Formats: sequence, C-alpha cells, structure tokens
Amino acid sequence: MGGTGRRRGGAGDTPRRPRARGRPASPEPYRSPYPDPYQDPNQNPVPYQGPRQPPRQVPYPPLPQPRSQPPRLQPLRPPLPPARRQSSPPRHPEVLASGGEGPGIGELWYGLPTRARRTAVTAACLLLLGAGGYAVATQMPGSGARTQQEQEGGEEAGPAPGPGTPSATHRRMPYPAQSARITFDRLAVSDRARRTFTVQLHATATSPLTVLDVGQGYEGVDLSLAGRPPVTVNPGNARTLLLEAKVTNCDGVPLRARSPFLNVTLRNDRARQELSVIPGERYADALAHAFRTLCRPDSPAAALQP
Amino acid sequence: MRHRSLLIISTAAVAAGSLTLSACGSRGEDSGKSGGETTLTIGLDAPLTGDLSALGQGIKNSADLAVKQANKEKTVEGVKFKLEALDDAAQPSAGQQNANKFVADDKVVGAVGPLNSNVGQSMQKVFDKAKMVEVSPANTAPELTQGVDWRTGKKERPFETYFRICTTDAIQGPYAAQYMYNEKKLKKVYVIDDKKTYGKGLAGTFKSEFEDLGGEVVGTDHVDPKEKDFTAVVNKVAKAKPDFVYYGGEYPAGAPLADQAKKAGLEGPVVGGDALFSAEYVKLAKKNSEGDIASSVGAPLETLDSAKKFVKNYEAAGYKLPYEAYGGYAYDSTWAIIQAVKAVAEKNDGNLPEDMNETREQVVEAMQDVKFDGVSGKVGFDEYGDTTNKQLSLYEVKDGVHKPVKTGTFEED
Repeated sequence: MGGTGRRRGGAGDTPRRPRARGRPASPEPYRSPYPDPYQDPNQNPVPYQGPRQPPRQVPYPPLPQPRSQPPRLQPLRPPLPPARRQSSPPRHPEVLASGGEGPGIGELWYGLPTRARRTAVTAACLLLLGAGGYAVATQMPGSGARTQQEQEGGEEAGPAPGPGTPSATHRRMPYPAQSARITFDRLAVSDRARRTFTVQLHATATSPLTVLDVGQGYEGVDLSLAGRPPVTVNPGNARTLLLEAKVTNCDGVPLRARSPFLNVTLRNDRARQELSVIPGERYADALAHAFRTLCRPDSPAAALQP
Repeated sequence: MRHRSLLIISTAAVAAGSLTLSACGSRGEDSGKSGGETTLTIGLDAPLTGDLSALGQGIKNSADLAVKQANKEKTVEGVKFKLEALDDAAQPSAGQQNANKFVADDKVVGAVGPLNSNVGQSMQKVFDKAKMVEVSPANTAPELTQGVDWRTGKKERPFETYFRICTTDAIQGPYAAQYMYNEKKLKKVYVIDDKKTYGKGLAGTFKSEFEDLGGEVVGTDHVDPKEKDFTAVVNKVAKAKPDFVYYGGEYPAGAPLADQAKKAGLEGPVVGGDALFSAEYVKLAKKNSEGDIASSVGAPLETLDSAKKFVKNYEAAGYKLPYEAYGGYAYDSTWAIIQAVKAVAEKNDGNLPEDMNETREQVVEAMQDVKFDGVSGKVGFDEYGDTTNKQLSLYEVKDGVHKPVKTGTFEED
C-alpha cells in the first residue's frame, strides 16, 4: 500500500498528524504525558510493545527498559511527528501503526534500506502467489486432496460408520473370514479306479492368516487339504490350496447340487473361524461332472466292486 | 517509480486473492443455486407400520443415522442431506404411490428401500422411468436384478436404476439346504411358503437344492400370512413326520406357525430365511423357537469391526427401537447414495447439475462405481446391480437368542 502522507516540520512546528487513508481525523489532538522520543534524538528509541491499545482511563504503566541493542531498522528521514494519544506505552517509531494517528505505511516502508525492500517484495510476491495457487489446486477435483474415503486407508476404504476419525478398532487385524478370499481354480479326476480327484483353489488375504483345513461335508466324499498344512497366506502373496478327495460311497454324492460349499478353517492372531466358501456355478458343474464320471456304472472303480 | 515495489506487492496480492476467491467461490458460480448449502432429499420407503414395522423402523433409523453423519462430516461439500421416510405397510400399492411421490419431488435425488421384494417390484418401474436410483437394503428375490429367467442361467438386468446391498435367495436357500442335509444330517423336510414373491422364491430355491442333494420333500403347503391359525397345515406336518420344516416367509406368520407346529408334534426345527431373523420371531414363538434356524444376509455384525462403530453410534443416537436385521444394510444403502452424489459433484468441479433430472441420471451412473467399506463389509455392485459382497450366515435360536452357527461367502470368479 502507498504512503499516506509526507512528513514535515522541524523543531517548533506544530506536528502535523498524518491521516490514515479512509479514516476520519480525530477531533481533538491527544498529548502524551511521556517525553516525546521524536523531539529528543538523544533518547534511546523505545522498543516496540505490540499493536496500539485502545485508550485507557487508568494510570499508565511505567516505561519499559530500553533495549540493549539498537533496533535493526533505522529511520533515514526526519523523525516522525509525535504519536497520538498514547494510552499505552510508546512504541518503536518504525512500527506500522494500525490506525491513522501513527506513521503511515509508506513512510515506514521507505524508511527501510533499498535491498531490504527488494527482498521483502520478492518474498511477499512468492508467498502470495503460492498461497493463491495452493487454494486453487486444493479446490479442483482430482487434485489429490485426500477425500474422507482415502483417509480411511486405500482405494476401497470408505467412511467409518460413525465419526469420521478412524478408531483403533480399524487398525486391528480383521477376523480371518473378513480377510480371506478363496476362489475355485480347477478340478481334475486323478484316478478313476480309486475314485480320487483333486481340487485347486486360489487363496489371497488382506492380512496374514493360515488355512488349517478344508472339508466338503458330503457323507460319501473324503476331502482334505493336501501337503503339509497349515498353509500361510500373506497379503500380496497368493497361495494355491490343493485338495485331495476320494469318493467313498457313490450313494452319498449329489449329482446335481447347484451350490456346494467348502468348509475352510482359518486362523489369525485374532480368531479361529470356519468359513463356508461357495465357489459358484463353475465348481458345482465340475464337481457334479467328477461324481458322474467316478460313479458311473461302467467306471473302473465300479468294476472292482463285488 | 517511487511506489514501484509496493505496487508489485499489491498486484501480487490482488492476483493471489482473486485466485483464492475464484477457487472458493467456484462451487456457487455455475450451480445456479442461491449460494450457501444445497439441500438434497433421500427418500426412504419401508413398512413403518404393521407386522413388519420393527424391521421397517430399524431401516428408517439407520438411514437417518447415515444422513446425520454425512451432514456432520460435510461429506459432500455444500450439500446438506435430508431423509424423507414414507410408510408402505409392506403393500406393493403403497410402495408404488410412495415411489411416485419421490420422483415428483424435485428435491429427491435417490431412494432407499423397500424391505419387501414384492413392494420392490412395484417401485422399480417408477424409479426407472424417472432415472432415479433406488438402493434396497433387504430385497432378496433374484429376479429384481437378474430377470425372470435367472434360474435357467439367462441373467438379464431389468432396471439400471435398481441396486441392492444384500445378497439374494439364489444363494440363501441352497446354503440352508446344504447345511441342513450335510451338517445337520436331516434328510426329510416339509416345505411351506406364504405365496409372496420372497417366500415362494426362497422356498423354491431351498427345495430344489435339497432334492438335488438327495433329500426328501415329504410335503409342501401354502399359508395365508394374514391368518394366524395354521391348525390345518400343522396337522398335516405332524402326520408327515419330517425331520424339519422349511418356511419361506416372514416372522409374523412364521413364528406362530413354528409355535403351533411344535405343539402339534413336530420334533425338529423350523428353518427359514432372513425374514425370520428377528427378535420378534423369538418373542412370538416363545419357547417353541428354541433350535429354529434362520439364514440372513451378511456376516454376523460382531465379526465386522465397521459394524461395531455403527452399533455404538446407533445406541448413542438414542433411537427407541433396535436397528434389527437390516439396519446396517440401510445405513450402507444411504451411504452409497451419498457417495454417488459426492462423485457427481467431484465430476462437475464441485457443482451439482442445476437440473435435478440430470443430477439423478448422473447419480445412477456414479452408483455403479461406488465402493467403500461399509457396516456390512465391502460395498460395491456388479453388472446386475447386486452387491459384490455376497456373504451370508446361519443363526440358531439358543436360550432365546439367535446365535451365529455358520458364515459363508459366495466367491464366484
């Protein structure tokens, strides 16, 4: 902002009160009971005490002790006219007055060294433009500002059903059934004479867990997890679960079941759970086909039966 | 120039200030709104009176909780949500009237509900014509999303505007059949239904799977759910001596049916679907509910960390009635609409289209891609508008309370 006026006067002149732009002049000039530092150049400048306080009706506090070191900014022009009113302790003459009764901004500004003014201009411009650019950027969609959804952690994270701040509960390990995802890969008849077949499942997890066992539940089928369980499944590391099955009684196997499920026993640090995995139509068709193949009257296994 | 440096600072300040103001004010500039907040209404249709009012009130309260949460957190900047709940008393005609009211109100951006599948069927066309989204927390009849030929494998989505948070009877019925036949080792069943879309469909999927497993259906029957005296049917049940009864229908009739069947001599449990999963069932059937089994959508709430917060907040909100079986789903249904509105606003530089018809259409489009971690688990929708979270559970009444006995997840690749 530009200066509000030019200082004038010297000793003996009635000090002309500078008027801040846009403010009406005070009807009665105020006379400070304190010695005027501007009239006495030998007096040490009073340190700045902060923004000007409104007029008080109580006795004034004592003057603060002058600073041991000279202030950084020195006036290059004739001293400013005396400050008005001064209900609060006098302050440094270089301080920007917030009202119209102290030195104007222009006067104070040009009291600074040229290099200091240039540095301040550059810094202020950069700061203001940066702030404006940030404000624009954060208001635009897709700006990367984290939505509440993202703040809950991840692409699929959403609002907590309650206060928005995630609680410690969210950061706990989930139950294994909520962490695991097990899908069907393939089924193959391995030995028609022995009526055995294998099932391959694909297991992933969003938090570490172990697969302890897998069962089918049909009376005429023995099915279990092959190899050496348990099988550990870690996030980002999918595992193949190989199941070995044997038809023990063809009377006890369904040939058309649409929704067979596998009982998968899971465990993590939080709990042990049994989860029914319903692999869907493709598994149902494959299983039914295996049963029909292994239990056909003309199958090699049937030929071996008495 | 003497004032050059100050002029430079002034210019920079004005430029930065203009940029800031334009960023902050952009939402209001083109929206055509009067400035400040825009209020959008989310409609809710449920049986707030009648036999199923316990479920309906739980749905309403949970949706209300979601709206309050969204307003508190300012989930959609510049948008305040309001819930308008209308009662359908579980009647399709009332549901259709409510749907017409919602689409005629230019403040309504989407609707949650209904509870009953047959009511849902009456509302779908109305919403589809208005291109307004409908998200049901509780409809389980497969044909609502997969078409009338879903059983043959020919799935076809009838309405792009219809979505649901819960899984379907195509999974629920067979899951119960597999459990009763393989694990409970009960091989003979008497199947009864109430002839409604939900009950008849559920009983049908159960019966089909049970027979495919090798089970024996010793008898079938229908009841009128408005009647509470089932003497004739229960006498037939007693005479057939099944291992258990499967009932496709809702608890206001299912509970007295169970009570009377046990008194008539049935020694096994009565088994049914999610519409039996209510404290009201136990209350009405009294001691004769012991051992009965109900399947329900989703995993048990106590195994979902996100649900615990919902439970806590629901209690803190001070609703007089419990959230019941579908409260969590109703919360997620409402939140899905809120997230879709948010996506539309983000797509339009923070604004919503001035024309509500345009807003509704864009909300429908955005709903297809909505994904979040909800009360019921991970919320998302497949190409039919069905939930991608196909979890379900079985509950058995033990000491007067439904306790979870099994949880399953449908993981078709």
